[in-house]
Amino acid sequence: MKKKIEIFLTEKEEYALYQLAEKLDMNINDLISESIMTKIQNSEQKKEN
Amino acid sequence: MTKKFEYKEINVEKITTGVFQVRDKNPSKNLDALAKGIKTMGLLQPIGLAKSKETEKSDKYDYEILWGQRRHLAFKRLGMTTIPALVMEDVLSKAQGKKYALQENLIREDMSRSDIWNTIREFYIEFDDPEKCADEFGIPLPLVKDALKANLLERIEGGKELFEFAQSLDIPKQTAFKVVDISKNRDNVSVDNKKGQEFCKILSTESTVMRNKLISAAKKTPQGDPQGWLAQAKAEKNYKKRTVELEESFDDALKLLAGKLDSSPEDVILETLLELLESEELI
Repeated sequence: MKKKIEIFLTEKEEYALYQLAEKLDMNINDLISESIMTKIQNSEQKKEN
Repeated sequence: MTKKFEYKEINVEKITTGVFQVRDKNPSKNLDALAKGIKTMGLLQPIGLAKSKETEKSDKYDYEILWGQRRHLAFKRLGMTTIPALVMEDVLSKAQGKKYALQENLIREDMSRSDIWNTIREFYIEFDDPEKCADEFGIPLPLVKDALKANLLERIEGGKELFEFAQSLDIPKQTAFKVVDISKNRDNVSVDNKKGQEFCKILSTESTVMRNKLISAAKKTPQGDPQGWLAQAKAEKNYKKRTVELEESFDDALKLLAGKLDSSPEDVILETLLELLESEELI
């Protein structure tokens, strides 16, 4: 089961996200998930340290 | 299982670049300044290397660069034969390599923020330019930006008071940091308290979406005033809604993180994406 969260981006930000996803050869949702996951992991790692 | 990096000195001629790079836009830009910084200070942050399918087939190269493409170029330009590196001996696929390269742009805890700030302080106060600092001292730009943010309250006169004022109006911590940054005077070492407080009062009455619009307007015209930013934000109509789908367990972790940051899950996502896009110089 997936949870849906709505965010609001400007057209410029949306386009930048599209460009980055293209560059990394990933779809945008995966790119977002990956980025958030990294942020969470870093935060947890920092807590452990 | 987590893959391990080992610290090694690697021959610069045995390193190639290409398949793992996420930051391939004009890597030679301002390379002289970076080389000068490395010559003065040494390399403060090792580059990241791993093996790829291409290096396995090559007689010439042993490793691909995960991060530190510009530092590698600067070392070659300086005529240095080896470079300090964190090396992974596994063969990574293109996707795996890019994930590490991307992660490096997001990891902010691998150097002491206060050490970085102490290193760049005088130069930053003079030039007010994170990119110049990164090149001058050979420190990755995302780490410089993070150090600046972390030391914002200590280094800006009146910053702590304005931050506390913002918090007293229930403005989330992340937004309060931005208010301090935006309210800096031209001297770059103190805040315009009146302007900052007026901005806080406006932000405190607005929704998350409108707050983001206000911050964005203020960043575009930092010399403007809060009422002007409010007018610009209200005129901004071209926001697009994007639905992000997350696994349930992941969503719980995000909520925990948001709580820790005194923020909302939506703001954490937005903040993370904007940091990423900024570090990639796409916005």
